[in-house]
Amino acid sequence: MGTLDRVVRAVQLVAAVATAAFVILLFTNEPQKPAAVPKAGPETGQAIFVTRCASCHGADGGGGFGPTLAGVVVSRYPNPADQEAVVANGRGSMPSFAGSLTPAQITAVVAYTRTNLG
Amino acid sequence: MARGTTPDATIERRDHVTLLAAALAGAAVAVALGVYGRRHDPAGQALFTLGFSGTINMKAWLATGVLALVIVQVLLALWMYGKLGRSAAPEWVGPTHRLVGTLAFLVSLPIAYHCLWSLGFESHADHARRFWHSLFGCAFYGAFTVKVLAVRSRRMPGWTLPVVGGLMFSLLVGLWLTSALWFFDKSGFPSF
Repeated sequence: MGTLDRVVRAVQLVAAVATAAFVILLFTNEPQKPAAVPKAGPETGQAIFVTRCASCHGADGGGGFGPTLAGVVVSRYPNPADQEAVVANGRGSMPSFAGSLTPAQITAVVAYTRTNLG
Repeated sequence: MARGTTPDATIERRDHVTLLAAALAGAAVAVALGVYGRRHDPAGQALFTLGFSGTINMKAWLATGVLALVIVQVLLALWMYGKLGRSAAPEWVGPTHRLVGTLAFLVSLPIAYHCLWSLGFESHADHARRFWHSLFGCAFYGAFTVKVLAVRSRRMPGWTLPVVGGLMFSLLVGLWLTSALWFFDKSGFPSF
């Protein structure tokens, strides 16, 4: 067996192990459920961000599953209403939050991202 | 051998039965992935981003890498089947074809995992892009299963490998068009 064949066998073995890990992780890796959203208060925007946004956009808005918000969100959405529309209606892989957050809560979390992250 | 049949006919029937079994296995894999994606509560989270600014960015670039590898694999397959040039393919072409295909599969796994685990299966045809992407994704791994079985078996019709390989390539192009190209179009290129 040549060197190339041995490399192929080794990579195929890695692929088999990766496939097994893929299947196992699908069934064993349970996602963390977000905590309930507070209804009112000065910390509402931050609390909503932590419970609804940070899992995708990162705890500091630095990105993760979703794109980076920190440092770019204000320049990307000069008008806060445009950003609120994205949160309400969803975009691409981002789900709509119109059914789980009130308009006031959406406004609060958008304000938080623009003030504290943007 | 059944009475009144020639050896060739018997072999042909055996080959078709083997192909049918492989096709059923591929269909089972595709359906299982679809059922998982539909039933599983989408996590909406990322396991890792590999240094990209977001998981969707990582997925778009990994998908582009998979497409590049598969294009190389198709070219190597054409060489093996004598469709490129007049000279026979060197000995290294076959193993390299398998190596590139295996690497493409490996690179595709993090993408598939985040699609299934984080987003799930889009079953509403109203969301056409996500709907077709979900279908293509499940069908791709079903076709991959058939191809792996076909490679391992000598009891399949000769046209099986090129046909299934072509189907996989078509599905992958469909996957890339409905994900990475869409992402680069919406977010700009290169969007690391």
